[in-house]
Amino acid sequence: MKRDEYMRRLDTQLDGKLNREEIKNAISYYDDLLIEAVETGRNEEDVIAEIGSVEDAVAKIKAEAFFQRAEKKGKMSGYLKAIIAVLSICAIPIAISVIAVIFSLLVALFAIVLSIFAVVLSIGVAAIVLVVSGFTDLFTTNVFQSVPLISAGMVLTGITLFSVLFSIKIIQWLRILFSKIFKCIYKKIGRKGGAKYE
Amino acid sequence: MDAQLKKGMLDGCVLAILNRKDSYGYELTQDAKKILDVSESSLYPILRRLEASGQMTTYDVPYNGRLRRYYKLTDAGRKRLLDFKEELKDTKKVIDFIMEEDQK
Repeated sequence: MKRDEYMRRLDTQLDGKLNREEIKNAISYYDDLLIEAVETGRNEEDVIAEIGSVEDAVAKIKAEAFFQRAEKKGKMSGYLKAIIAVLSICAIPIAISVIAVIFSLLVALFAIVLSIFAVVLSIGVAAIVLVVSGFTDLFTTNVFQSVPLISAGMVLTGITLFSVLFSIKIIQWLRILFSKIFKCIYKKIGRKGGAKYE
Repeated sequence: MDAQLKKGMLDGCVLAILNRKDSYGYELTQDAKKILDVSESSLYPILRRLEASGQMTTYDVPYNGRLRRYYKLTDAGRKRLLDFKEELKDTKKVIDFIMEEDQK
């Protein structure tokens, strides 16, 4: 076999299996070897016989190209892991602040609900006290003192019932508002987290 | 030489050859063949790998109306050769031990 034929067969067998860069590298390596060997005065066919079969060369070239692709891929995922690790470390202060915001919102929610309960409870207790003292006054002292007390107690009872309904509405509204806020925070974090892996 | 042993030695051989002077494909394979029974097709992957890992670079020099590709060690390559020599010191202990046993 002559150099031309060897090179042509090498090119045909590599074609389509590897990318242009990989083929170019391999072809120029073998071509240079053959040219140099012949230039030193050696017989072309002897040199080609020594180099070995085209099939052997193709097998080695392909194995090496696939090995390097795998290595490159491994390295890439290594870099990606490092970037994610660094980003996660950078994210710790953000995460702490997000957690602090969520915690403070929960505390605020709890405080609002508690204060509503306290207000409703105090009005209710006042109403009961007024009604009870009004009725006890009715039997112990005079009617003119107890009637306003009873009527004030009745009014407060009405206010209590009304405020219970009203506070239920407020709590429902707060629940919706806070769930919207938390959903918004969750989405923001989720989107940032997703972008890292793209 | 045993194929496994040869495989371990080949990288070091190529590094040592290139550490002495820059070389081109044909000269490098001929030099390697003087030391180890190795084929051109076995040297190709080693050269590609050394280049890909940054232990070796190439440059082209005009010669006889074409470009001859020279291989040259980088600092990383010289470092790798030094490390390899260190590893060989440990290997030498094993070799000495095996040879000693052989003589008895």
